[in-house]
Amino acid sequence: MARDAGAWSEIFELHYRSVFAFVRYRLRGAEEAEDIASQVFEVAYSHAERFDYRGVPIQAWLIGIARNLCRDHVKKLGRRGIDAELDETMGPVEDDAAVTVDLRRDLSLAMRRLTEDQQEVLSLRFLLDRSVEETARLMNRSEDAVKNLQRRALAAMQRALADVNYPGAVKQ
Amino acid sequence: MSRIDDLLQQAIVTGAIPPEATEAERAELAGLLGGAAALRTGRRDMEAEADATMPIARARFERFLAAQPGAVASRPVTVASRPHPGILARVFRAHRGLALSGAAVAIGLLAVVALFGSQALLSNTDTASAQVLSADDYVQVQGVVRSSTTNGDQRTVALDSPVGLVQVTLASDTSVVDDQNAVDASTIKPGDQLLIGGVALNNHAIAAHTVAVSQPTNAALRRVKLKALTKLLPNLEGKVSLLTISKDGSKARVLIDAPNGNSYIVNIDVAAAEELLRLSSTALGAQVRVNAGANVKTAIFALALTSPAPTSARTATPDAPRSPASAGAKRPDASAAGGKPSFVSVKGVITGRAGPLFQIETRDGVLTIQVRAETRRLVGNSGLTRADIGNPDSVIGHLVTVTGGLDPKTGRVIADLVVVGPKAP
Repeated sequence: MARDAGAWSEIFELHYRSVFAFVRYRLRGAEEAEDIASQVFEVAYSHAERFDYRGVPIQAWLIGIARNLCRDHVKKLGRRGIDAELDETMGPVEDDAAVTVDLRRDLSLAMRRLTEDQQEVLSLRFLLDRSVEETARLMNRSEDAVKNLQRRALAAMQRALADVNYPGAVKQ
Repeated sequence: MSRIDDLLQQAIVTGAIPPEATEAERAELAGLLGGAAALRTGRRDMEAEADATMPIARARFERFLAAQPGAVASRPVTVASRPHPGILARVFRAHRGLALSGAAVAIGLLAVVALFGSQALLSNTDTASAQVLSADDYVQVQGVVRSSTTNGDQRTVALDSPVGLVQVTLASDTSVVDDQNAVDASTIKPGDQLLIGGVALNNHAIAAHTVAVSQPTNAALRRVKLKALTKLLPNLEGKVSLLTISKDGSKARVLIDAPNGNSYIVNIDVAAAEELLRLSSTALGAQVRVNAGANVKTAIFALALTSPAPTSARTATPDAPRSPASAGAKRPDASAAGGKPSFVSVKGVITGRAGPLFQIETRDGVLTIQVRAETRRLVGNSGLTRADIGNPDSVIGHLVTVTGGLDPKTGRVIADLVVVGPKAP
């Protein structure tokens, strides 16, 4: 099972979207998110023998890998002194797409101002639609701690969005 | 747990601020819910991005699996020329150390060989097909035959296509036509130009339903870098080199070769695909401009035709009198199609049905076409829904454009694609 290519293709099909969602707004753009999400499956395959199936959902394991890869990636960018601005290599967009892209860019900018725990709780709760109970399990915290972290993360997000001029947010 | 945490959780679940919240709490909760709403809005865009990037990531992961120890070649495949490494190859190489770390043990070796052995034979850009071809999609693609082998009733062709070397299988009921007639698949030889209409398989091969053959060529296909279009690029124009339509007819995708040397995987409105197919039996070769359209926020774009596909001359002749089941088909003048292969195209009004056979009144008379389970039916501007056209009788009286091939036994037109138009006046 550990190296069954067919099973690994299935795992990819089942979990790619979730992994992409988890990393997307921590990174600079969709291409970077695709790159990191792809690496998650490669690392998982390479380290399959370390995975203990008993009681641990495979998604939790993949998200743990994604968390580490994001952390390393952001550190690496910082060490290289790479500007954290968003990748706009695809060029400007036409007017009717501008609102969507602005929100996407603003969310990315805002998310990267949060702590890693805050990013994680927002990703799990609002991008992956995980319940408080599931989020608590994935983050190895109590449900009360997740609710508290969720509130602080939303408050930080609200401030960050206001800073990057998202019109729906109110600076407090 | 603090009271405000609890109130916030209730508000997230119910979508409303709990009535017991004080005025100060209500103000705080309203701000917090604004942030949550922004995330949920962003989630829709993010999901579209995930879908748009998934084919590229899948191809990369499949190549990674195939590259693991034990994924060895079992037979040689002719490759015309070594392509330049694409962006995926560079990305993959950049993470080679990471990808291979700790991968010394290869348990389940045989499964890897069985599933990915053939993929390992392909060149760097050959897994580009995996970026574009999703299982069960109807596909139109053109290319040059590099090898052709037979195994019982099945013929397998290695086709050098815009997405690399693609394996195409021809079964006994695959319609094969040349410039003039239905022909036997055994006549296909290396160097032939083929236009394939078929269905993508799980391994990114294509099960051909219709194959149009044209004269041999020595021309090498241009190798391009593939990019998934997730944001509108200003003034993006190019030539359509591949078309796919999902099984239920709800999604379409094209590969557009741009003058800048890139090739863009573009998810398009189905209406745009229907328009291309109404004008020609194949969308391939059409010059288009990519526009925003109504669904641009989900990375689905519109197309504006700037020059139609050159292969639009192939038509079928009406049924001979007293033999309605044996509609002959006239092959086009090859020069009219610019020497390129083309499919059979029928336009007219559906006047009746008997089982899978539909009568179509064309400008030149009545023609019988056969619809198969694999035939893709598009609702076009018919006013019908996809559920409606599940009932074959619902299309009687409608204008229709049929693209397909010829049954080698009966000479009857077999429909691969049916685009239904409005009720005939």
